[in-house]
Amino acid sequence: MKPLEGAFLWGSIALYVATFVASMLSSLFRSPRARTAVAWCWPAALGLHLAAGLTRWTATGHAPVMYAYENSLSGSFFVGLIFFFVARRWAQALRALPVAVAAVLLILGNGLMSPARLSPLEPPFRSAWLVVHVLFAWVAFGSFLVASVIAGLYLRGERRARLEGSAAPAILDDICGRLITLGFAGDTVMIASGAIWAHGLWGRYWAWDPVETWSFITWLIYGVNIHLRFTLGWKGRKAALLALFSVITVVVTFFGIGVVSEVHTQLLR
Amino acid sequence: MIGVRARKALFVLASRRFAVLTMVTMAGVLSLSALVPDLDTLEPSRVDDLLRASPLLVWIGRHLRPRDIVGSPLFLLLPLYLCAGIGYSLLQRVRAERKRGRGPSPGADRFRTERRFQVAAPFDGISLERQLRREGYEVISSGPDHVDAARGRRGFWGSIAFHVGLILILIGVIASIWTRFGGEVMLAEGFRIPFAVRSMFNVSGKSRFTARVPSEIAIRDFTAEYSPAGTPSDYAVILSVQRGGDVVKEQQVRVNQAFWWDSYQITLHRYGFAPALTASGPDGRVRLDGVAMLQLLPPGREDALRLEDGSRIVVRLYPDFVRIRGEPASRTLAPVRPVLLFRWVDEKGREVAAGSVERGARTAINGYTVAFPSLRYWGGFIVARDLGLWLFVVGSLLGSIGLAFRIVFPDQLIRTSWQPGGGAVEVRIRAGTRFFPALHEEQLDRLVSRVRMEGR
Repeated sequence: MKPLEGAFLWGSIALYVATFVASMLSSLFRSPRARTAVAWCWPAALGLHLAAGLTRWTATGHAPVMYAYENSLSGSFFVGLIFFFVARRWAQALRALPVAVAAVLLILGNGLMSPARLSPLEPPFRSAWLVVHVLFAWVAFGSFLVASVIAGLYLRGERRARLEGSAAPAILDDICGRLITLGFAGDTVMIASGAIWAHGLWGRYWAWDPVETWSFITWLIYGVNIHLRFTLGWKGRKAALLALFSVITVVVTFFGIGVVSEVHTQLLR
Repeated sequence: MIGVRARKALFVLASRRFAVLTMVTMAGVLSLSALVPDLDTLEPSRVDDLLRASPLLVWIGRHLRPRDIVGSPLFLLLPLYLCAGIGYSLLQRVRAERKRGRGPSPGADRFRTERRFQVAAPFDGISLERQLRREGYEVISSGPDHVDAARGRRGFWGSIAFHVGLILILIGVIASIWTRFGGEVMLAEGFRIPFAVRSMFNVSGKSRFTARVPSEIAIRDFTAEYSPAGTPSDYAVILSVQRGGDVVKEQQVRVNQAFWWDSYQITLHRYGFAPALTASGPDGRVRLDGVAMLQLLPPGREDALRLEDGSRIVVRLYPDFVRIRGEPASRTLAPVRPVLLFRWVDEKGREVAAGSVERGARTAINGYTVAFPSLRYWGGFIVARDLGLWLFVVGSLLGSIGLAFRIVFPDQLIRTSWQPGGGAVEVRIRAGTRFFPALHEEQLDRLVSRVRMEGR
């Protein structure tokens, strides 16, 4: 990692932490100062996060899409960016900011545990399809993760509404549906571009390796989400619970394959 | 009685709930299988350990492997079933769309809402119509006391595109299963081999190889670039197709840059060193005169070359030879100073000669002579043909774009009416949407506030 990249990255982490603390204070004490701090810290954190990614891109000569560190750097950025746009458009989503920022920090932290070596792309990865593939993978990942955060917020609001006898926050349910659709479209493009790349590289576009199988499972599960929501009319509590459950497949696909292998290693020892 | 039952069964099969259940079942079975390691890749002793620890996991690993599941006849029926279901649904939608003409979509009334408000008189509805058009609505009926408008036609075509995309994906998957051919060839620089199944190994779908015209393939001018640390950073080779000695097509091939011939994709997959070797025994008879194709990694990996008299020469190639604490090693993978270490083992398993030979040199030990005149490269190429790939890709893209259109442009309907009441005009808006009722209400509130602003 270059010093400039490190400065941007740690600066963004500090600002994310500040955003997290300020958003907690804002929701607990309804403090206007904390709200102002969120309004300044959050975009600044995203800006520095983007700057860290671009610095890395310049240093390595390729998009930050290789190995655990670079993937965490870009993946967490997409989660933050998608949530930023959602919360700017629909202020109701802002209450989930601490959860979204915590998710960003967790993903970044996971990446920082891996070596951040600067390495050129190996020949198999020198393909424009890789960038398309990974870009859409992060769009899908960010959308699904933010959808689950919004689903959690909906469930919390719905429970409170049930106790108080008021209306459930239906708009959060709709936002969740839109994000799932965006994620599903991104997931499909991710699978298709990965298929083209794999065929050019290995002469086959699908080999049922664990990552491919889990991508397909994720695609199926979110296909079921969309079908139940838009064709069979699922909404509210049921749809939100399904969105929360479905994100498990996303986490397994992106981060869990290694963990599953580790479990097997332990089991076989 | 049987007819009724059959009808009921067909009804269940054609239902969307059953399609969802099928998708959930597929996901469930695949999840289960994906949790268990591929037993083929484990050592038998580890499989035994696993069997003792968890017989259930071993059973799953043996019977529910993803590639076996998806290759099973039952699983192959699923895409056909989904194809038929989607095709049927598509026909119904197109028929309904043709029937409705310019009228509103029946789905637009799924989630209904209503707004009533007052605006100052006079109110002729022109401002309302203008606002509706601005929001992308198409006026379907208007009069002195009402305006009805609908939008979402693009969403309908999005839905059609999405379903056609799904059908293409499923046909693509089936086409791949039925038409896919795959094989691998290894080719050293300066040699030609027939472009035929007999030249390949790891062949799948052997009977599907149909080269239209007999031809041969050859490679030349292999170039490998190495990073300062000595690891390969890029490699490329000129691949040619020849017929009767004449070059028909020639192109530089590198990783991710395939060569297409006769609907087959030829991809450079791996490479290694191919030292030219000559070996003769104490009687002077040449036992070996050719090129050995050796693996690149790890440097110094042992390979055995069998000779016709039953003896063998065991070789180890160090591309950038150096001795570290007396042991042979290679500084990098680049062929800077290639040295071949060899052991000649006779037909009875006795080592009769052992030594080393540098590129361009010859070494004689105990009367056994090994010469290493030159070092070439060999390339490993994957030959593949898959007619389903492009259907799969086009289907995926069409499906994604269609889905985006479906959701961005949902069927929505607005019926407005107004009548004078006192000094003002009372406006009533009844609206319906297929998806996202809360977001639609938000849009409706914006529309109402704009109409009220204009009416002031």
